[in-house]
Amino acid sequence: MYSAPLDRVPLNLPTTDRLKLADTKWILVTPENAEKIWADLEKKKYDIVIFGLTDKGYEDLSVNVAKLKKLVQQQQSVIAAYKRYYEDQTKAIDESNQKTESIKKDAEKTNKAEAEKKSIFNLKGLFK
Amino acid sequence: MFILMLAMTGLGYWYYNSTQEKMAVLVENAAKLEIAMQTQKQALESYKADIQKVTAEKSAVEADFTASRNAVEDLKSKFNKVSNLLGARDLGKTGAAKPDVIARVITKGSNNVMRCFEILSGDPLTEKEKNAETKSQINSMCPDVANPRYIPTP
Repeated sequence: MYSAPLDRVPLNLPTTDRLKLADTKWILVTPENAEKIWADLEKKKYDIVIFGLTDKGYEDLSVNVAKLKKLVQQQQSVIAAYKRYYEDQTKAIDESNQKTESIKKDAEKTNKAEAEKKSIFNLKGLFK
Repeated sequence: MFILMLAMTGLGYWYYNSTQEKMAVLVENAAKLEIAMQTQKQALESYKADIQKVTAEKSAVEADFTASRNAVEDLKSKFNKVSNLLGARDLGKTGAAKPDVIARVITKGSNNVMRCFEILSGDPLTEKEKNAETKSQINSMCPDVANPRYIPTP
């Protein structure tokens, strides 16, 4: 029985979209600078409204963003490990198949040589 | 006598050929066994190598996980820093006292974090990021990602 190794079909996936994020500007409003901030908003033709966070809220938001970054980094690390492992494994399988083929060829060669050696003393050979 | 000799020769010829064929089969079988043994040996070696690779990859991923977890803990500790000289750090109090300065600091921090996400999504590093070596030049939110030349000092 003969078996032929199959080549793995390469999984060529598209790359993810690159992020281009807009810069944001924080404003701190205190009782002392509130008037100035409103005037500034008016002057720059913004709506007179501030979307606010307390200091605790800001800290929580920062930690949440850091946790998201952690998740992205961990997932990238996992994907990179899978990639390295499967690429190495594919290479190892190819090498192993080549080695097996080489062993088979060597064995067949030895076998043939052995058979030829034996046939020297074969009486059939004498009448050839 | 001649017939007997002829019969003996024929018998010898048949016996010789028969044993030769059997020997050829045996040699072939031995070769097949050798191939099977070599293949098994190779499979075992390959399995051992795979286990080593799995262990190495697991360690590398665990190290990356630890680094990313530490980054979150570092940020938390920045907000809750207690210094012998200045006492506990309170972002609210500092912000109330110096709103413009703190606004600049947190704006820079926020934009640095956004830049970290851009880099993680595959955006190439700028020359400035590549060449940053000192603390004042780096993206403090993710120097491990943004500044390959920066070596953090303990």
